[in-house]
Amino acid sequence: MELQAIAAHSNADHIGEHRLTNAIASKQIKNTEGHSKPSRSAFEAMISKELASFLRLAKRLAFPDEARAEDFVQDAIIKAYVGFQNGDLKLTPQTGAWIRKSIYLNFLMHRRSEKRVRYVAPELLESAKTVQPELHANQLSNDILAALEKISDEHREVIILIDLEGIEYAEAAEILSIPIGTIRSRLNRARWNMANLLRNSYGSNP
Amino acid sequence: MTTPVHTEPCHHVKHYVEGVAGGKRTRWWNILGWLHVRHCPKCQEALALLQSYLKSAADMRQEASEDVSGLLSRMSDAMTEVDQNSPSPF
Repeated sequence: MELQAIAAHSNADHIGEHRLTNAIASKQIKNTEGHSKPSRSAFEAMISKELASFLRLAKRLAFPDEARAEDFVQDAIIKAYVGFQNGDLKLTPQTGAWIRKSIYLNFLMHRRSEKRVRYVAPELLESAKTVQPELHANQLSNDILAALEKISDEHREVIILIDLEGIEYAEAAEILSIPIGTIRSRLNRARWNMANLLRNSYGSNP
Repeated sequence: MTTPVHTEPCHHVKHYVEGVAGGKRTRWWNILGWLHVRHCPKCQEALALLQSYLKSAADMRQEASEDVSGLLSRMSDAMTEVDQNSPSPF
């Protein structure tokens, strides 16, 4: 009887251990298959395809500070990669939009902090602006960049996103967190401003 | 000191001019807008200005892409660092 009890207990232990082993194994399978560490190469392939457009967007937002633009891109991509590894972010056609929004948010945070720096220590800002601006072979492109400096921040953002980067209205609305109707009206006003600022570049007969 | 010139089309055809400049097809009911622009020098100038801007913006979009080789290698290093610092899933 006692032996039977011991055998039963031993059997129960064995079953318990077996269940535990199964649970660990299934967790491992889940980790390696279901919520597995996603493949880095897939992420890198997506990034290398879109990196040029990310960098161009950041450079236009951060103009003329090119080094800062690279920081915005790197920070946004690393955040995306961490999210991708944790399973919070999936590789979909919207991943690029997510990264563009992240680049824009980085730029926004930088611009806010720069405004504070300007108030506290203007000499710091002057030293930061010694970076040479990006020069385009096309004179008109340089004029466009110069005109962008003269319009308001909210107009500049829609011009960069839609006219210079070719981003869809819906994605631009998502990036800027404003309704699509506001995007349209803001873009129209911004375009008239830009066209008038560039009047001299087009000559007397545009 | 001179005030900078700001050209915009007449208010009632503004939407029409913006559409035409953006390459939107005109419809038969836009005939009034078309007739107005045809006879209004201010609207003609505004239309030409906006078309020139949109064309130059489109040209700028087509310009040579950025050189990203340096950034790509730095990104790769940063991702390796993330891989090394991330905890094991087991």
